[in-house]
Amino acid sequence: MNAAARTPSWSALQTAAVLLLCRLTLFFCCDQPYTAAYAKGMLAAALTEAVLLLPLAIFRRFCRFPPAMMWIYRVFSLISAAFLAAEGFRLLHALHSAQPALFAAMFLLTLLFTVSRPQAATARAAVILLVTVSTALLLLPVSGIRTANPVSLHMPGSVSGAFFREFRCSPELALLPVLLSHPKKQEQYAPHALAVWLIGRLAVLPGLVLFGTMQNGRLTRGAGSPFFLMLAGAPLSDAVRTDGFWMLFAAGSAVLCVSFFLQLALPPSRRPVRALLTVMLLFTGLTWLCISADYRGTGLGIAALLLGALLPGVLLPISRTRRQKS
Amino acid sequence: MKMRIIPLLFAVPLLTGCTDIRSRLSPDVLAIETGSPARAAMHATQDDAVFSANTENPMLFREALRQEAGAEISAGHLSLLLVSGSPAAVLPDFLQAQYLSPTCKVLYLPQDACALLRSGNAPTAGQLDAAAAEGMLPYRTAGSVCGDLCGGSGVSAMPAYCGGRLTLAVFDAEQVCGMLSEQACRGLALLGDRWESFSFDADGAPCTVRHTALRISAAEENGVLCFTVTGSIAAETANPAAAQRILRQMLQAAMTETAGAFGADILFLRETAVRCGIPGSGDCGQAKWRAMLGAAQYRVALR
Repeated sequence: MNAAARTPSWSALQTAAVLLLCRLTLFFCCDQPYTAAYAKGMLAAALTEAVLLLPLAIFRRFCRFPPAMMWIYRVFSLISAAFLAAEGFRLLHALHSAQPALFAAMFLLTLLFTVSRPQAATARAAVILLVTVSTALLLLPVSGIRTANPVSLHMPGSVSGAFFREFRCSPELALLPVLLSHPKKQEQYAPHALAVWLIGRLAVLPGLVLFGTMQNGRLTRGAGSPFFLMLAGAPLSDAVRTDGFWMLFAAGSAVLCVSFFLQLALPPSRRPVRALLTVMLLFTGLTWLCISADYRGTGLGIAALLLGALLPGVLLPISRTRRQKS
Repeated sequence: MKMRIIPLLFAVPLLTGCTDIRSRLSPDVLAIETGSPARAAMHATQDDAVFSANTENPMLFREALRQEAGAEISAGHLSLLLVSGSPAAVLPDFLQAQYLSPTCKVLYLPQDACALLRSGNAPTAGQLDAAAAEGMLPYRTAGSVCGDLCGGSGVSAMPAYCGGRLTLAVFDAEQVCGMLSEQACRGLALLGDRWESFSFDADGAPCTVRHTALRISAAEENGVLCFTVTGSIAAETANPAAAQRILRQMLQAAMTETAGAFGADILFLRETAVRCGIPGSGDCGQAKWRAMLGAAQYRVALR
């Protein structure tokens, strides 16, 4: 199988959404406290990536990946999937989620189902998740602007540490050549996908870190994920608890991203879909019957179920139906 | 077939929703007395009842109270934590264990926090909010208190109820160092700029502060670190000279009674020093920074 046939035919937004979601998942999982130095390191890393990726965007039509090279990307995809899954569980632990074993089981089942879906379904789900989270992110600075303390930006921190951490937390980087070497009809999408991805990396994430620095202040040690700390400190949380939504998003995007990497790594197959769906529904019913200890673990499990499995599972049939009608 | 599954999936969260919450007790106020043995008391929202228990370690308060109340304790809806003994022995650990949210109110009581809660005479979170809104106290919650303890000079300040009035207690990792004067509390509230109304008596004439634009800057003068509050305060009063004098005194007391007396950096002085390029301020340890603050000078230069 050659590279062109192996790579998915996604639109620019879909490609960018999958790439950004991978980075966002690790952003939520990272427990490094937010400082201005963190934002600077992040910005420097994103700028370096932008410079390195320019040749790829310019000469992408000359990029043809031999089948032998695809094995490297498959192995890397598997490693990235394992890394993302481990980070997802670490976040779960940091959030003191009850019923982690149950969540792990549900995560696995959801993952199996999502992996069995076609890649196009994963991409559509990624776009929906990204649009939802972008809207929610807009509310954060509005809600917390009054309680932000600009002098916190002068807290000491390591720029170089943040710079290297940024590369370590960007597993999608190594997959860019595969994703952007689309078939000819998709070639024009590559620069747009890169642009959206880079805007997210250059503007949105460093901006979030800066805002989080002003919001969290000196509370940097032993407080878990700084993103959820920022949410807890925002005045909006007094009226509406939004951390549930973000936990839901983090769980769902982790499932999607792991699925994405597994789909790249494993040959596509749809045969076990029906069986897995049945197992998953049975499992969900059992979950409802068995869980009485904590609603939070259940919520997270259902979050992963809904976002990771429902979206790709449902959107594809809907779009198929529409195509058939048209 | 797949489309028919959707309602089933959505029904799951509806059916599962929080059914177990009814079997739990959520304290809105928790009192902890450190020491040996430690003591914990809580006011349960559902029953409007107070439960108390002894425990070897304050971190085990949930177990102790569960046995006493006969129900699981969920600390997720805590709005006020009362502490007697050593606040530093409780607050960071509670925050890390997520028993406390960063916005939870905390209050130090010199002794018998549990007894005060049982008697029903303990200040409420609403009273703390009102004091902060009237500019009597700075707005300080678990997040800011622990942040200063971990990231400033290792000395922090938290609201306290002492002698029948609300004030601020300065404490470090080992002990409570002292209480602040009313002037210092008001000065800190002014610098914090989270008040809604700020009134005081200016030598017989009522004075209301309308707007403040204050800024702290740092400089090194002849080898001595010097922090200066600059800016302006717009106040309505029949006696502006007295009002300005009192406001200056408040700001001066806020700086000298915290940073000057105890080396307590609760005004982001380290970050201010880094911003102003004071050498060594960013990378020195907490003990050294505390000593530097103790030796520093504090000035107020209002327009």
